[in-house]
Amino acid sequence: MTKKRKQAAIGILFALPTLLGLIIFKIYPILASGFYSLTEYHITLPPQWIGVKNYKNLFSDPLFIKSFSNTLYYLIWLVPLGLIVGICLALLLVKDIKGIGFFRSMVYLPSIVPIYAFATVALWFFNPYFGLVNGLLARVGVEGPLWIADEKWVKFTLVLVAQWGAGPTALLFMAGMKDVPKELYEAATLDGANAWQKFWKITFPFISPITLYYLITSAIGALQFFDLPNIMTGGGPNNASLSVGMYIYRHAFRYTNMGYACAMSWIIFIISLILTIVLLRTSMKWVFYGE
Amino acid sequence: MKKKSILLVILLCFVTLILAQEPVKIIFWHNMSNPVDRKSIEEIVQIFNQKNPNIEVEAILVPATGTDATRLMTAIAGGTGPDAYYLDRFTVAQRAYYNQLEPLDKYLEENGIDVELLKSKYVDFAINECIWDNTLYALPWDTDARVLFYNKKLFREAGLDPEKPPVTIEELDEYAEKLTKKAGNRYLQIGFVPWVGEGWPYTWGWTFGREFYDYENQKLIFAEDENIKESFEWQKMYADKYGIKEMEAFFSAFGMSFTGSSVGSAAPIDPFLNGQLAMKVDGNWLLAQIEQGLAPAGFEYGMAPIPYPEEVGKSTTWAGGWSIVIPKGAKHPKEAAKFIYYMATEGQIKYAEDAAHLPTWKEAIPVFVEAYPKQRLFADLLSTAKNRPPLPVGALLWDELVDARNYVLYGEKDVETALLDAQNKVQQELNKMLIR
Amino acid sequence: MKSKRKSHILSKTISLMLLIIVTVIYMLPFFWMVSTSFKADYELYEYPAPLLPDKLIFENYKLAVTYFPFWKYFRNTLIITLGSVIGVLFSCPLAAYSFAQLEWKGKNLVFYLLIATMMLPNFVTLIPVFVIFSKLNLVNTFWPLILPSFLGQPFFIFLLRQFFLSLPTSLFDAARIDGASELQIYTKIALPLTKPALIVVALFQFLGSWNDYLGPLIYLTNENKYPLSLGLPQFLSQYGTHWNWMMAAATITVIPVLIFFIFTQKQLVEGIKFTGSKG
Repeated sequence: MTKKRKQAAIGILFALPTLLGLIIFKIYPILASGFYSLTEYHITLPPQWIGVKNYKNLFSDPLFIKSFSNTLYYLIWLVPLGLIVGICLALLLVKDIKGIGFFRSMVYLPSIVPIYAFATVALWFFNPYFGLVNGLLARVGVEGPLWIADEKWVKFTLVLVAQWGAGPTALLFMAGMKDVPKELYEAATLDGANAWQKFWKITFPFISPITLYYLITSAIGALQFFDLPNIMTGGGPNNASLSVGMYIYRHAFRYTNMGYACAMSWIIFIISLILTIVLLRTSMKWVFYGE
Repeated sequence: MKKKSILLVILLCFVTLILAQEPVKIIFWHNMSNPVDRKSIEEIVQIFNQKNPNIEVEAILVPATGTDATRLMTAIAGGTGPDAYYLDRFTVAQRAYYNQLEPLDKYLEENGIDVELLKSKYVDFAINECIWDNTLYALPWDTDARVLFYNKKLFREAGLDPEKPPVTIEELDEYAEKLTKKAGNRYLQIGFVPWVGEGWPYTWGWTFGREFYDYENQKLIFAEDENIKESFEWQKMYADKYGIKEMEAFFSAFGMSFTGSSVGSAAPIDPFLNGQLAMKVDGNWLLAQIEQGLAPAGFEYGMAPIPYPEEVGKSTTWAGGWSIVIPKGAKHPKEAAKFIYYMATEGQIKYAEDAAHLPTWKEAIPVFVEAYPKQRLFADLLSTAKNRPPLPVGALLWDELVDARNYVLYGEKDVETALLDAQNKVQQELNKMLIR
Repeated sequence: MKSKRKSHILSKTISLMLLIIVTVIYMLPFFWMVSTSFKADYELYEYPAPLLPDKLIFENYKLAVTYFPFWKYFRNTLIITLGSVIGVLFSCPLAAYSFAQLEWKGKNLVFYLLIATMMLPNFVTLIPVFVIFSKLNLVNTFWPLILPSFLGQPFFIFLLRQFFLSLPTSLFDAARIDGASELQIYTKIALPLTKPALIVVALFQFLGSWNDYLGPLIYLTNENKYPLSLGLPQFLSQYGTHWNWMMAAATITVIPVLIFFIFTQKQLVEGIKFTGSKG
């Protein structure tokens, strides 16, 4: 066997467990759900073929449209904000000062705490009358909005609350930042560069592979946003915070309307796919993999 | 030679005897995780097992919240479902329609039980919910009822007689105003909010005196009904008078999914218990909670039937509750039916006594009232309580009614349009199903 | 020189202040959780909610661990979590290395497919996968919760691939010329260089398995097999939830993860060789 072929064989061998998993646990169920999306399926009755009717109905379903636009909002805000918060936290926590380990652990905590605890603190924090946020705003003379109680603010509030979970993201970015050779920073300082320039010209290229990973995975996560709105607002007020993920769950298990739920899932799937391809394609321009 | 063969025969007989006596194993899934409830269930199961040596029931706790049937659905799909299941009565029709349940009456009859006689021994509304397409799919378990709870201390502070709760809607509105305190733009205390707690569209629709569904013609009629429309207008009046946004803000402090329609997890903090909300329509479980000590020290409260419009003349409430069913594909439906029969009859009496849950088995009611005299009000209401129409679109109907109410409260749609839209949507689904 | 010193101290002070503010904000949920766990029943419904309990009711902890078979559930959580962590550490780096440093036909297609599978909301794949496991007779065992880890997890493979891509190919080529087999290169060179990334993966999987609710809910039908994540919801009840007991149970549940994190966080942040350039 030639070296190349040998390498190829080993390559496939190494990837074999994943390939198996891919086919059994991912591809088959995805195709199955695709099939179900073209049927009227209620789990315990045999599926009935109805073609693209589910998809047609979706476009005239006011709740789907609302949840879809809500989800787009989540996508547009969660991803960039999460990136900024994650990187800022990482910059803050990457320093090697004494006891930094303690601070890092504290920032990571909310991601470990059960969501009920988390949700209650968030609600108290953003309480329009007694919460910390409006209290602080009042000190600077600003009348805070009604946050989670207001149709116009609820989504934004949820996006803010989600930032409490930025710990893992910060961790990843810290890992990338630690990698940057100190000499580069020293050289830059000698050249008279300021912090902003140092970040963009030196730090950023080194954390670009992580950034790509983050952009793709957080976009997928935002499109499926479920846990937080489900427990904090139940989709309200007046469905202003209803996400597609929640609506899918409702049809799948509350109405056992599996076919419809699968159709919605496939729409999310296709969008995620397009987004990822775009991100991966354009990544060549700004991701730096070494040397 | 002879000795050996005799031994063999004896051994064979022994083995056959043992095999023949192998008890049939019944798996029962429930989600009563409260320790008191749980203990009671387990004791009932034990008693049943002792009385029926050829059946062995195992009760398994499913830690799901509310009517979440994810585990059941996946289990039925995979053929690994239980033999008996604890199901929200309100969803029986839906599950029956989708072929997720075995017909219970058939198996009860196999056990020699007179089903018609049995039905008559349950409170009307409860047994009604268990029937779909003239087949009995479940036996009622416990139930609940809604009344008006009010804070006696706040009554006194507002100059109202704490022993005289409001009787009519008109009085309710008056009291609510007196019990509301505002500081600038924000509420320090609110008297009453119709849609909080158990003030669902069903509650007020029935209170104002009418029906949502015409059983004979199989048609939803709530959108054309003047009284039901009035109940929505009345709720809107509160929204306009007190400001929907300010009220939402007030309630968001308590982690209440204010206008969300999902019957989600329990609200962390209750504004009524906190003394911030003076009156609230809620279920008898609140009473149980207060009695348990999960309320501020020295909490003074009262209960009264839900106030009604003067011309209606009497109070109405509705009841929900649980039931026990046999999921599709159960391995031992006949034995499961026997167990369910025991649970829902004698078992219920014990449960009502142990766990302070309102029973649906008529025989159990006096036992319950004797053990829990404070719950007498609820027990009395049972004979006239209403139930949600057992339709396969039950969950959809509920969600649509709540959404319609929300559209009205937020001024997005007027009452007529909101109700009509909801009715049309659900009727459409229902018609599809009735044809089948 | 003096002004440089001053601005240096100023920036350090600002950083420290920011650090403290951020930490306080992030600590709040945990703080509330622990505070509630020590509260008495009646304190749960006081308004405004007291920040600290009147007295520390340690009994809540005792009640919490007897509400359900706590230590049995704990053991089950450990089994599921450790099993999954071992699983991902086995399958994911292997696949990631293969995608990053080995050449084979269809490699990119498979990788894209892998990423694509992350994109479907999991509710709809729940049932087909469940049916597979039930046909294999694996329902009510821990296998459906552990096996998938041994067969690759797209999130981790993607992450590790990014790390492996940054390793210099020259390093591997040199080793190949020296006659090392791929397996040797993988275990002796590639893995050690990405040790911190592996710890991140282990941590993330640990956390995911530790708190996983839906998986155990549908696959485990025997109470003896329930993990802690199925224990916590048992505190919720329409007839009055004991939030204090629940938070006590939650606090105990959080401790092991916290310990794992504290011990590994230094390791992680130190020198993950992301871009191959020696520091």
